[in-house]
Amino acid sequence: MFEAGEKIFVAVAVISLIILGLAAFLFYLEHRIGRSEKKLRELEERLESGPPGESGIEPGARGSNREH
Amino acid sequence: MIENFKASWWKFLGILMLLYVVAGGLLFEVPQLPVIRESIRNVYFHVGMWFSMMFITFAALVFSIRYLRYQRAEDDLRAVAAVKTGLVFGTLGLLTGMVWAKFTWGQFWVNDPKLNGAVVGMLIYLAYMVLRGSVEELEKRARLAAVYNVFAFVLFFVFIMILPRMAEASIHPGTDGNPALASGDLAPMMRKVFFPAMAAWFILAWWVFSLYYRLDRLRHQIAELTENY
Repeated sequence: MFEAGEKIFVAVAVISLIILGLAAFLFYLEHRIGRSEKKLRELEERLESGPPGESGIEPGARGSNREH
Repeated sequence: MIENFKASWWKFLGILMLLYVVAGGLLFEVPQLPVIRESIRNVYFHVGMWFSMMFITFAALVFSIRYLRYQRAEDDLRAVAAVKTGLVFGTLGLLTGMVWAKFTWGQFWVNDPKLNGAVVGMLIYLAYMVLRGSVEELEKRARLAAVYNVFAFVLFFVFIMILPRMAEASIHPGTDGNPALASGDLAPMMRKVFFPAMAAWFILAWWVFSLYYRLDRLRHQIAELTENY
């Protein structure tokens, strides 16, 4: 299908595709993390705007197990 | 959209540079040296990954020192994110080195001080992760990890940069002077790809580090919220 001298271009194309795929994955991750950060900020603002009982989440309702 | 692009320009630049490195690294002319031959092109990838590992572990050292000085949780999170990134790039560096060794030395692994030092260095950083996992109290964990990280970087540097130079027989190149940067190590014709390659790998490492950091910070914030409510 390819001449010996042309195979290197196939290798360049394949590795470039892998790098573009990696970049797309990193941008996707960034987008997801950004969305979660926004949601968390909104939740924190809601919680700060009123006492815990009035914010819709009861104190201690979500447990106290910490995972760092 | 434009705001996003403005904030991410350096990431696009890094990807463009990596694509240039792949094309230039595989297509541009390289010196034809005995034994190593065309495999010399791996220098753009293998060395770039290891330099990125050193760069990001140095950043981890700076964050750990900053944590010890100011006791800010963010610095501890940055340090662990940098170590995780360093482990990723170190593993990639080891794998590309093993493939290169197979084609030049005939084996995936040879008993060489530089290679063994690299593995010991990686194990030191793996132990950092184990240490963190073994302490539950957050402040104690952060302080212990920060102190350990200072020693880890020093030991890592000793194992990959100093001991191989003191050993009499190392077949790994770059045991004199600055590896791949000394005039005798890198042919001038390779510099137009090598230097962009270093910059591209550094940018990619910083990008991965920033993602790890933001993810860890999210986990930390969720844990704090869960504890308070």
